[in-house]
Amino acid sequence: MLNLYPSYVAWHYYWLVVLVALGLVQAAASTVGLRGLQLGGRLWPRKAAFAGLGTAIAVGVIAFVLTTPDYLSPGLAGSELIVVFGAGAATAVVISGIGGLACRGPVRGDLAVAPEHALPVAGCSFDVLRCSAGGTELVVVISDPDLPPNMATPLARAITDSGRDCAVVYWERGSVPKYPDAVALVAMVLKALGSEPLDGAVAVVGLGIGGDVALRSAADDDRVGAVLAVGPALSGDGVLQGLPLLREMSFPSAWRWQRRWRRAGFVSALDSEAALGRLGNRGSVICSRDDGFFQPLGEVSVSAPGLEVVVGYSHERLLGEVAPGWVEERLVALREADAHHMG
Amino acid sequence: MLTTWDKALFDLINGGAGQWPAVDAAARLLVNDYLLPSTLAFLLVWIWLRSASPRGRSVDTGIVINAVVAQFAANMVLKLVNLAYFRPRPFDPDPTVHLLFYRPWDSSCPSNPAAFGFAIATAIYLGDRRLGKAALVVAAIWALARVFSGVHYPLDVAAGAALGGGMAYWVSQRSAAAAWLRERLYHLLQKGLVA
Repeated sequence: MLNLYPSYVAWHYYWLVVLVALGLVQAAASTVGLRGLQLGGRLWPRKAAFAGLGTAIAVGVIAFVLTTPDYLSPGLAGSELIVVFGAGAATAVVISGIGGLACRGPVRGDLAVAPEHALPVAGCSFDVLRCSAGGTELVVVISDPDLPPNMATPLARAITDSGRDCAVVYWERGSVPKYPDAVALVAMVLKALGSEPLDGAVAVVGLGIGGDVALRSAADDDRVGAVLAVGPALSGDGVLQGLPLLREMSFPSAWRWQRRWRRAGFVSALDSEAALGRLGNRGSVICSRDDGFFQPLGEVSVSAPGLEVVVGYSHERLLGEVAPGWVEERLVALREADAHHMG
Repeated sequence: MLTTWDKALFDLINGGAGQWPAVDAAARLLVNDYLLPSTLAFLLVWIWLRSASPRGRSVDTGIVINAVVAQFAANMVLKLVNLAYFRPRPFDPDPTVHLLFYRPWDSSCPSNPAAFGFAIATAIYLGDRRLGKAALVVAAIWALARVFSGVHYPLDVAAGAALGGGMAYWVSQRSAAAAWLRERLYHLLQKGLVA
């Protein structure tokens, strides 16, 4: 039974908790990078956030002591204090969540033109982009189902400009990869192109979860000479879930994101970290620490030989600027090795 | 014998009260039901939010859950002890006690604030040594202020600290049921985007 007597003490204590907890949440959001809890939806400088916390504590305590003469008299019971504290802390989190609504998550968007080839995997299709000279090498690019599909376009263009064909795998809006169907994704793309001879090497590049699919689906396929995963999760732990999702989006967006499909369960089932080990020197992973959409690599315990962290690049830049160079280098090396073997 | 030493130590500590107004004012600020317990609770809010990595989040959420569970468990044990044993407050038998606080009517031993404070501080210490030391200092200052202000004997706060600290240790390190509860709560909170 809550009496909350004297009620004015309960209210004063409630506002003290709201003020200080709000300062704490803002300081923590600034430190950890939780844009979805930061008032205004943009990260504050840490010094400003901690100055705000100090001010909140000073103002809150002084105001409480000066305006609450009964704070030294019998008042709220311990259980009542816990309830009031919980309500105040929850209010601070709600205020922070509302203040962070300006932070929007990645916009999924639709493809402008429907892809040409459908795959026997729900909601999955691909387009083949031919180089003008008629390429003998093929690069399969697998996009991430939760990222804008056009993120793969600059890479596809760079590949065709370099004289290779490119098959870009897309996920229709609302569809998500399923295990174990995704394991055979690269094989299905190659089978769909089966009538066309594959004279040269095949490389696979995947972004985000597409990177995990690339590693796993190419690991046991000898036709694939090289695999690059850009910002994969590699393990279930590497998938952002729960509160850390607020690093990149507001609370309602994160809620929808998390409810949509179980990314962590899918990545765990794929076990792309083990696939990377099986790929040996055929597999490479590049990651960034500089955007919050993916789990920062430093926090994922991975000891793979082909792992590289590129600091200062977003994953979009890794895909557009680093991946084309990797494709060029690896396919040329494969061609030379092949020529050496033939000779 | 023990109660004699306890009374002697109480007289020594409480003897300082009523001598200097500034010290009394500081003691009143420290002994009340709001500021120091709230400090410990705010530490839990900070721990809950401070980490970005999955491993860190799991550990930190575990600290907060341990602290909350230990605090509730210690409080339940304390209520049961109070049903069986009642110790009068220091000011009840001795009107010369320097009382800087209101007159609580419940049993003096074990000290409820000490049990609360040390349950939370020990749970923090077992998960984060550095922050835990600061929390233990806050809990100790609160306990000492209760003796200085004349509302507890030293033995009361020692018993409360042992109860709270012991409960936090049991919940954090020993109890399989608490570990199960911690794991389930963590995943539930994670689904609700609050962990």
